Amino acid sequence: MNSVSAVMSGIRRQQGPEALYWHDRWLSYPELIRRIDEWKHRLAGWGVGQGTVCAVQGDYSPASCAAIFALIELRAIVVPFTRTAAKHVPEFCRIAGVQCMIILNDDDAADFRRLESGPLPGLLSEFLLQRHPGLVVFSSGSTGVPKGILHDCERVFLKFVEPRQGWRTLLFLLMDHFGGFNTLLATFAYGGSGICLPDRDPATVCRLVSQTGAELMPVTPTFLNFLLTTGAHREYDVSSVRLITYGTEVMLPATLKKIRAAFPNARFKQTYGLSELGVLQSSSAQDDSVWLRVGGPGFETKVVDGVLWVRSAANMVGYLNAASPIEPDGWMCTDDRVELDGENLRFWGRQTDLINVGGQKVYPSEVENVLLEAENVCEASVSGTPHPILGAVVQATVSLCRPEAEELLRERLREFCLGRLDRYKVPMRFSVVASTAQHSQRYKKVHEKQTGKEE
Amino acid sequence: MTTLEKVRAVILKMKKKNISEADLKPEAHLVGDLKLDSIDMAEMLVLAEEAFGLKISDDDVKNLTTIASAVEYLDKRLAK
Repeated sequence: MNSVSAVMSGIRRQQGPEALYWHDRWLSYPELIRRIDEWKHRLAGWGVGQGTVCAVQGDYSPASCAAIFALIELRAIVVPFTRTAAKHVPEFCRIAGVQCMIILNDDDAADFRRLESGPLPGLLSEFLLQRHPGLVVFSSGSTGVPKGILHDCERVFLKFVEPRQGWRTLLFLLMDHFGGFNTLLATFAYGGSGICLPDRDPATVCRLVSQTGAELMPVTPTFLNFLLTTGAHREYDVSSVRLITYGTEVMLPATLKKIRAAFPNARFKQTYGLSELGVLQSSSAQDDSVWLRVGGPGFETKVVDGVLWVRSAANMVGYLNAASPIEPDGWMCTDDRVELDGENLRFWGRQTDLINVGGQKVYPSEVENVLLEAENVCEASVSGTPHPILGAVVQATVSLCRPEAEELLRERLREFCLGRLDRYKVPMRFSVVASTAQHSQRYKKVHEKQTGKEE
Repeated sequence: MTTLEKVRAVILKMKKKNISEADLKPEAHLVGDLKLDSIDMAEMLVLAEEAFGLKISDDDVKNLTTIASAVEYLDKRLAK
């Protein structure tokens, strides 16, 4: 197996003028490759090489992309961090046994630091015997204790060896999450172009689409919903977008309908993956459908008691600080509740998100979708809250398109839901928040989820 | 509005087809007479909490059997 050199050789053969868009200019493939070589030289000078555990802190940029590829070619263990993860960095470094760190500022200037590190985690020490480059990403985990996920880059790169279409791609998903790393690889392995975003505000995203003619937007349903709320897509020319992929959380049919109308030139594709298993290939039954087939070469799926299980050739090596959830035969329970129709699946959310109302199960996504169909509701988030009689009841937090008296709103929404949902699914408590607050809250929820579940 | 009137308003707000204003006598049993099921009771509690601006604890739920007992309970809570 030598997938890393196969993919890196492919990248090195690219001659195109548009590899990476950053700070309003394109970096060509030859420039990117020159920077990778410069980084290899600098890293070697600092004693970084095969088996060194090296973190890269920053966001997508010429330096971060070049440093990551340089570390991989040197067969080091790469631990990417975004600036938003700053408060967790000391803990993450301890878990992964990080030995040195490259810190990049907004102008891409690099600060190299050696860290005091204890003994390497046992799993990592064993892995180093293979002399393969590695990748460590982190999952928040259901208990809130972050887990270090060790990947063998030879396995991760395998699915990028076969040439496919390269896209002009927005690098939206964070680079310290598996979905972001997957986007980065897919962009360059296929000779596409990556577009760095200074922030992930809808207006910034739409401006960069307009400036660069971006074709592929790998994003999240929450971002799409926020985009619709802000109307930023109407302020810029976003007609270049040909494909919007979305994952990491459940897509509500109501959101999908609205976003399709906002991007009439684009196809829509739901994606599915987990940090532990990689990103599966997927095809939506139809563009306006939330049903999809998942799998692709190297992946097997099965549904047991309504829950999806996956076996992947790109399975992680293991957790650095926890027992592996992968069964000895390679299967892993994803905890994602699904409905099966032939070969197509519909995702209903994580088992842990289910609300148990007096023994009856409620999927938040189903209720959120109904609320989004109600007049004057632009965002909705549903969860369970303890209740003395039923154990839990459904509560909803909504954002409104225009102000409305809360008491009347509660009555109106209750009535609306009663006509469309079983009684036990109807929210009993409603609260109203500003759209931005709702986005922050949901984004936080999604962001936390992303650390465990990708693209 | 008295506590009794407010309790009646809460129950009517639930818009149960089988309940009219005339049914809401103080001695009416919430489950036996008004046929409220567990979901109705749960909804009534939430609506009462909103209407009276207080939290009804798990232990107190068992005291709410009739309209009169609900009124008595709420009056005591409001007097504190």
